[in-house]
This record gives sequence, structure tokens and C-alpha cells, in this order.
Amino acid sequence: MKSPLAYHFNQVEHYYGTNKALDIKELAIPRGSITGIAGPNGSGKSTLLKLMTFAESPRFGEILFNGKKEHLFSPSVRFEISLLTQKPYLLKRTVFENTAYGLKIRKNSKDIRARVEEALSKVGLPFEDFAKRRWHQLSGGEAQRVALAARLALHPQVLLLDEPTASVDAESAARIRDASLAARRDWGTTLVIVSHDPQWLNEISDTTLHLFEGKAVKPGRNTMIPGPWTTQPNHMAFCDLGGGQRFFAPDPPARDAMGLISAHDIKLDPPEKSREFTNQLEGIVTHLVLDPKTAMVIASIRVGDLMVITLIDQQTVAASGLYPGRVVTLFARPSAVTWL
Amino acid sequence: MEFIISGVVQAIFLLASGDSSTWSAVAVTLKVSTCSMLMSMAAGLPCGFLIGYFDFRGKRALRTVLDTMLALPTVFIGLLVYAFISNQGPLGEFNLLFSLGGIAVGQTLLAFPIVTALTAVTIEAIDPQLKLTLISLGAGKKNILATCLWEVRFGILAAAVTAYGRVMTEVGISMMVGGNIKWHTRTITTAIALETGKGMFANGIALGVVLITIAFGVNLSLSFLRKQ
Amino acid sequence: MKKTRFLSMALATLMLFTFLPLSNAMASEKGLMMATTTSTDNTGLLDYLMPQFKKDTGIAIKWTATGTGKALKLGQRCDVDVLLVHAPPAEKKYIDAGYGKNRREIMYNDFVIIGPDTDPAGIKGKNVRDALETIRKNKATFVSRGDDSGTNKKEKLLWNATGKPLPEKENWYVQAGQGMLSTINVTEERQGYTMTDRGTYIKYQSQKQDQPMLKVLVQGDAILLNQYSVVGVNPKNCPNAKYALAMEFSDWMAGPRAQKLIGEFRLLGKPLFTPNAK
Repeated sequence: MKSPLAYHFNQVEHYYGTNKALDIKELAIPRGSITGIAGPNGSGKSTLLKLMTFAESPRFGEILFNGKKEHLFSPSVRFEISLLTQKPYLLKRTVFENTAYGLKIRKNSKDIRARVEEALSKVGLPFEDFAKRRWHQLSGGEAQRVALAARLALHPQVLLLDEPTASVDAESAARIRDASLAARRDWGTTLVIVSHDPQWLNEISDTTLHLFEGKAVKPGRNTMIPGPWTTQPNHMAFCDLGGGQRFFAPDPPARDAMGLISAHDIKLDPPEKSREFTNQLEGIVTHLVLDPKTAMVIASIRVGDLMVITLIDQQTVAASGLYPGRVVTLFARPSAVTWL
Repeated sequence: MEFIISGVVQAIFLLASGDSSTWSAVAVTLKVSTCSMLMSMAAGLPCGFLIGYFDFRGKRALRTVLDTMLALPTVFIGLLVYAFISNQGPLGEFNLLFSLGGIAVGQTLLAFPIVTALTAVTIEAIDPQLKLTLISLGAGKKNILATCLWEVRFGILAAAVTAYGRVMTEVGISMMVGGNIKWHTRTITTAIALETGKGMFANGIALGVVLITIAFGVNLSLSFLRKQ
Repeated sequence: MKKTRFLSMALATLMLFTFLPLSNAMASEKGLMMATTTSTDNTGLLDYLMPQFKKDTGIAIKWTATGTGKALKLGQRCDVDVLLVHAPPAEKKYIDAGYGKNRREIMYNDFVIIGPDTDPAGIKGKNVRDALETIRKNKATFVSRGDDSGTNKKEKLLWNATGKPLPEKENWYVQAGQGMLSTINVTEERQGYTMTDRGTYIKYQSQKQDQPMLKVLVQGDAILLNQYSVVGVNPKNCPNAKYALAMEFSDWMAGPRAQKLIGEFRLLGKPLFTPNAK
């Protein structure tokens, strides 16, 4: 029987020279799931994707793909996993040749035209207008869409997307999002998406993995609180969120430590009869989306410069009349913060 | 000064009137430089690829040697080749002295470091994303090699044209190894040297104009190829 | 795909175009190979004479024109079959060393000493020895080829004949390191004196529309004679050299037909060489 997991990371450590780039104790990505990956620059996101393509092997630990140890150029990896890099590289050929490149390697030349046409239409590029264009006759957004089409044409089992919408126009971003989602819907493709856009990740992903300095915590709905932390004599440290608001947490391991707080630990109601000190924060609701799995509403709330995520049940949303733009007060226990 | 203008006029006249000695020099030049260019490409491309693609010990030393070879004066190469292909040299039995083949050998030596260095630079400049992109599209090792080479085709074409320009315009090797024999090994450049030696400056200028015209044509066809 | 095919076709055509004629050229490059001096080639004498030689004997001859020094060296290294040179003392030494065989005198022209019309040093009409002495005494500018060519060898010989060393370190003695015509042009710029073969002087004269700034001041001295000879490459030294063909060439050059042709050869209406084969 096939493993229900597309990827399973076990005690994986990866280094560049002597720099530890990635340190993941365990990570399981189910087939057909959408996993978001968030984290600041240099936190190991791109490295993680590279390991997932098997273009590099981790120095320690093992990565199972469909339950098996795999390596680069093995047919089950080569023809099933496709990565869309952050800056797409288009071959110096026509759009058609770019999109058909992987298909031609796979030697299924019968329906290349149809597959290319389908892939291009998924990213909103009409075949007639674009197939004959050359690589330098495309805008940045169009180039990114062609690059995605080249992957979609392969109907991959796994599609790894590195910042697919980071530097493209709004229309291209929308097309890329739709096309990625369609891949999972139509072919059950497992998606792993690195993005700076937490709203979008929240909206579409089943879970989000937070990376900081190569380390990851269990995927879930979390808010990252970057430092710097100012330690006080009473073992409580605070972080300035901007707008005069402070978030308190106990004993950070370092001044620049990354704090993580689960969406479940951020509440709209004050805690009852608690003797513990509670962070009380003013924020504006910016975004409300339905989490398809839990039937809860994911609310993104801006507190100062920080985007905080919380989960609210649908009744509460209706009862308290939450809408984007509404000012709310949030409560969070300092001890709920974990450190990356 | 006045011989420059009369030289240009004469160039047009020489070409238009089908002056056989001029056309012979043009044909010899094209023949031998094309041959040298192709041979230097055949040798230099793989070497340049290896140097550009792989990291190995002594790579920097090798690059330094290569860069020095770029500065080899043509008369020195000519002398070196002469020493080898002269009847008393180790390669005397091939009868290459005073032949186009001999010039081609020397010019190949001249162009080889150019092709190698330019190819290496081109390969080194390949976007690191390219390999990852190809892997993620399912390319195998052979596909990657073939596609990489095709991706840098303009760089390689530029190397070829640079090599062509260099061998076409050199005079030291052609003179030393070819002997400037009329109808046989007289190239445009050795003809210019001869005409200048004879004091026929205008003729020299005329041949120079012919050479520049050819070089221009080569570059023009390259930019046309690029557009294709 | 279509483009790849086009490119490879173009490349194949290019290679055909290149290598076929190249191999043809190499195959046909058999025959007599001669090393000669620039003066015979530059004056056009060989272009005039050699087609006749081919017609008479059926031997294809090719020549490379260099300085006499290099021409002799080419013969010594067996790179050519026959020499047409003009440095009798060097030729004799060469034959004595076993490199050359059967030297035959063919023709001569003469050298002249030229200088500005005003003749500041006052050498006009003197013999060579006195003229050079006068130049040395007056420290008048003298431009030398300085390239060890046959002409340069001759000039050094003339200086030696004065009994004093060659003035190579004097700053009035300019070594141009160039061909004869360039050297004459340098002389004109510097308003100095130089020694040249008459053929090149005639050419210079014609370039100046017969109004040259430099005039012939010294001529006719026996020492100014410039003897051209054919020397075969010694088959003992070079077994592969085509000695028989070289002798055929030598015979033809010394024969009545070639001698007549040489005598009739004119540049700008003036004879350049005097045939004198015995």
C-alpha cells in the first residue's frame, strides 16, 4: 500500500559549509495537502524546498518520499516532483518550447500540444497569442506564469512553489494562485508553498510550517513574533509591536529569539479570574477566511506592525459582528509563547 | 593623408573590377580563418566547458596560464609553429610549411585560448537557477548538459566570432608560416604588409578596407542569427 | 528543431567550403619552392618571369620573399629547394658550409647613395669611400635599413671598406628597421642620406611624380654592384630537396630566353636588372 504521506522528514540536518541551514526533527506532509511555509529571509525555506526536490541531500537524517528513500534522477523523483523557483528561469526558446520541455524529456510526444495548450490556459495565457513568443517577449508576471505552466503540463505529484507571487502583477498572482489550487483539485497534487503572503497561505493551506534559523515547529496556525526582546528584572521581556503596544513573554533565550504563539492561544475574550498577567492588545481586523478543515474562521488582525492570527468559531464572528476594519481587543497569556 | 582617401576609392575599384589577386587573398583569408576557427572551436569548446563547469584544484592557476596565452604575440606563435613544421622540425614530414594547413595550425593555437577562456566565462555565468530548473522539469544528466550548452549558444557564438576576428586579422603567423606566397598563402593581412613594404600605401589601405568589410559582414550575420 | 537543422546544415556547408579547397591547395602545393629577397618580388620581376618559366618547363614554382638572411636560413633547414639571393660573400660561406650547391650568377643591378638635393655634407660625385667619410666627419644624418637584409649587409660592407668601424652607436646613424621604401621615406623626413638599390629608388621617384626631394648623389662605383645569384639547396644536407628541378630552374634563368626577358624588364620605362649569366 502506498504511504499516505508524500514526505516524511526524520532528524534532518543540512549544512552549507559549517553553517547549519536546516534542522528539522520531524515533518510529515500528507499527500494531496497544501502546506504553507513561512519565515523570515534566510530561515531555510528555499533550502527546505531544494531538499524536497532531492537536488541536494541532507547531511544527516533521511527524507522519505512516498514512504521510500529517494535520490536525485530516480524516475519516481524526476518525473513526479517539480519546483518553481523564486526567480523563474526561462529557457532561451519560445513559450511553447519552454512549456513542452519536461514533456519532451518524458518522451510522451503524442499529446504535447494538447498538454501545453491546457497548461497555458490554466495560467491564463491563450495558446494562440503566446505559444510562439520568445522568452524575452514576456513581462515578469507572464514569465512566471509560463514557468508554472511548464510544471503544470507535467501533472506532477508534488508541486513546490517558492514565492510564486512575490514579484508579479496582481493579475498574474491571481492566475498563479488559481492554477496551483486547480492542480490539487484536478490531480490531487501535493502543494508546498513558500510565501511572504500569510493571508493567502492561511486562506488556502491546510497547515503552515514556521521556519526560523533553520528550525521548524510542528505545522499549525501560528503567529511569529520576532524580537528584539527587552528583558526586565522580573523575568518578563517585551517586544515593541509599534504604535506603543508591547507584547510580554517570559525569559526569551536570546535578544533576537523568534517567539511563536498558536492561534488557539489568542482570544477575543478576557480570561476569567486569572491571576496571571495577560497581554492585552488593540488591533484591527484585516481579513477573515474560512478554514476548510475545522470550519473555524481564521482572523488576521493587525496589531501595530504585527499580523496576528486567531481562530474564531462562526457563531462568535456573527454574534460579535466582526468585519474587516473593526477594532478589537486581544488577550494572550505570556506563557503561551514558545521559542524557535 | 591623401592616400587614405585614394585607398578607399581603390578598395571599391579592386573589388568591383574583380581584381584576381585581391580576390585570391580574400578567398585565402576566408578559407584559412574559417578552418582555424572551426578547429579552435572543436578543441576549445570542450576545454572551456570543463574549466567553466567543474571546480578542481589548480583551476585558478590554469586560468592564469590561459589568460597569459591570450596575450601571446602572433609572431611568437609563428616562430614556434615554424620550428615544429619546418622540414627539420619534428613535424616536418607533413609538409605543412608554406601551406594553408600550416597557417591554420598556428592560427588554431592563437584562437584556442580565446575560445577556451570565453567559453569558460560563459559557462561560469550560467544562472545557477538553470540547473535546478532543469532538474525540477525532470531533466537527466545528459539533458542538463545538452540544454546548458544550447542555453549559452549566444556566448559560444560570440566566442567563435571573436576567434574568427582574431585569426582573420593576424599577420605574424601567416607571414612566418605561410610565407606570403602569391595565389597560395597570401592573405589580406600579409598582402597589406607587402604593399606597405613596397610603399604602396593606398593599396594597403584598400586591402584594409576589404578586411574591415568582411569583419563587418561577419558581425552583421551574427546579429542576424541572434534575432532568429 | 527546424532551426537546429538549419544551423547544422550551415555548419556542414561551411566545413565543406573550408576543408575541401584546403586539402586541394595542400595537394597542389608540390613543385619547386624558392626563397628569394623582397627586391625581386616587390619590383614585379618574378610575377613577370615565372609564368614563362612554367610555360617552358611545366614546373610550378612558388616563392616566399624575405630578407636574404632568412632566405638562407630557410635553405639551411631544407624548407625550400632553391634560393635567389644577392649577398655574394654570405652565399660563398653558405656553400662552403655545405648548405648550398651550384651557385650561378644571373643578373645585377646597382646601389646608389641618395640624399637631399642641397647636399649639406657635400658628397655629390665622390666615390663611395670618400662620400661615407664625409658623412661621418660632418655627422650628417644617415638612415640605415638596420634589418640585416641583403641591402643592409651591402651597406655595412661599404662602411667596413672605409677602414673604420660601423657607426651604429652614433646618433646621426639612424637604423630604421624597415623595408627599403619606408627607409627612403624616413630619410626624406629626416633630410638625411641613405643607400638604396636603384629599382626601389625608381619606384620612389615615380611616386613623387618625378620631383623627388632625394637625388642620386653617388653611383657607378664598382663596389656598388648588386649581384643576384641562384643557389641550389645541397642535396647532401637536404635529401628531400628537389635538386634536379632546382638545377632546371638555374639553367633556365641562366639561359638565353630568361636573360633576354630580364634585360627587357622595365619599371616606369627604366631597366632594373642587367643580365650577366656566364
